[in-house]
Amino acid sequence: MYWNLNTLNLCLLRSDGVIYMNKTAQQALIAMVVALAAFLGMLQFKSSKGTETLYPASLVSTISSLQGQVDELEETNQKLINELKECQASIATLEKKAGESNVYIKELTEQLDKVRILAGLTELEGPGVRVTLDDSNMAITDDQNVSAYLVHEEDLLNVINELKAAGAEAISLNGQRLVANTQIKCGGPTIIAATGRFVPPFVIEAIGDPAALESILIQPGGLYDILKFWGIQIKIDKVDKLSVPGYYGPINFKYARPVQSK
Amino acid sequence: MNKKSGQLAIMVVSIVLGIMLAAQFKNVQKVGGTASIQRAEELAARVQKLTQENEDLQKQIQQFQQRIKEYEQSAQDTGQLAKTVESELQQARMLAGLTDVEGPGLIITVDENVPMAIQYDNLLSIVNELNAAGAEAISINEQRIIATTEIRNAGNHININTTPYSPPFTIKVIGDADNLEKALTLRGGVIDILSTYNISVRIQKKDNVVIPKYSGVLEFKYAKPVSSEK
Repeated sequence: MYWNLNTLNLCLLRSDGVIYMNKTAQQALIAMVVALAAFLGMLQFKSSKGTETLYPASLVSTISSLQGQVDELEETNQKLINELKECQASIATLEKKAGESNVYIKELTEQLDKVRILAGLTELEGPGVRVTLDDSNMAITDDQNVSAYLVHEEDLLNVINELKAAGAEAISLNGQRLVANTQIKCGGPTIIAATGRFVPPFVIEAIGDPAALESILIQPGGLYDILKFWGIQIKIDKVDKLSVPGYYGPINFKYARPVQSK
Repeated sequence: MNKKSGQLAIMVVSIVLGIMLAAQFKNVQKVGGTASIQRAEELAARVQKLTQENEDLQKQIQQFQQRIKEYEQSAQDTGQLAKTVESELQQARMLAGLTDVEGPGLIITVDENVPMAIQYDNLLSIVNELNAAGAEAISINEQRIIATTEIRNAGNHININTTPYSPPFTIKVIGDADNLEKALTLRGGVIDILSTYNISVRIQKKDNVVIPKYSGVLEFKYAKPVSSEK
């Protein structure tokens, strides 16, 4: 602006520091300042209008109250998980004691330990991979399908399916063990009840041969390439030792029963 | 306009401008950019998920406490003790897919009207929908779906538990038959989507469906129980 005025010879900066302008220059400057003011005013109006519809004054307090709930629930759940582990330990002790009293029971409890491992009821550890998925951070223009750049349940199903094909023995999604009838729906892995919606990032941990688990994903044309194409952020780490928790949802078979004739 | 009035005008406009800029800046600061609403949504989703986890944990603890009580009460009674362990073993076997099971449910036939129409992910999403509707046991072409089951394209076939299959696919599922059916036939649901790919799905409700146990050898080579476990 200043440079323009100077080149137009409308404004002179005198050696004593006082700016002299002719009338045209003054008017031009005022016009510009008024135009800028008007523009800012509009911006202010638009932004405050947006604030009213999108960001109510209570939003800040809503966020802090939600954060409080999250913290509280996380603490309670951690206590419950500890309580659950204590129960498991008591059961193991009682079963061991029961086994000592009787050979048949000993046999049963040994089988039980093995079946629990296969059913996903026991915390397991071993080598494997950790796969982290997050929504695309690519710049998306309005005419593109935004949905294609988000992590969907299909993407998670596919990654997990590939890991199973590569011999994964135990898998967790965001810290929750996947068992035979786990659904992967909005709200993450839960059995039977669907809740909430997905919140990225998603961390899939799988125990198995790390090289095999990694190579099935990064092979040419594999899921890594496909997801990268959409800008989905995918990271695969081979890990020497990771642990996958046991499934701790309730087990209720209401409809299925063992076939009696066998 | 004389020089004085011109300067005054500029001063007034500048002050107004300054106030506006300050207000604008403060406004942006207060809402914390566009991330705030997203943050609130994420937190709300987290609360919902944690609440569900909380309920699940409490139910599971109740089940465990019940089991502990049963063990303690039958500690002196070997026969009763054996029965308690047996029932525990049976439930774990059912969850692991190591027992033939029966119960009410559906028999679903998935076939294609043009060759190669059915892809692995069509079956994957049917299984996922059934699990979401409370399926207790599922098999595809007599292969029991367990925690480690893959459903994957392999040449012209689809591998399930490393065994190759081609259409038609017969999916058996045990659970609340009405719920299971609704989950599939929902408008815009999985059957609607599949029909656009030339895939036909036929559903039969059954009072009794028999689903076989996992037929392979299930052994873990890499995963071991956590050593610190008491």
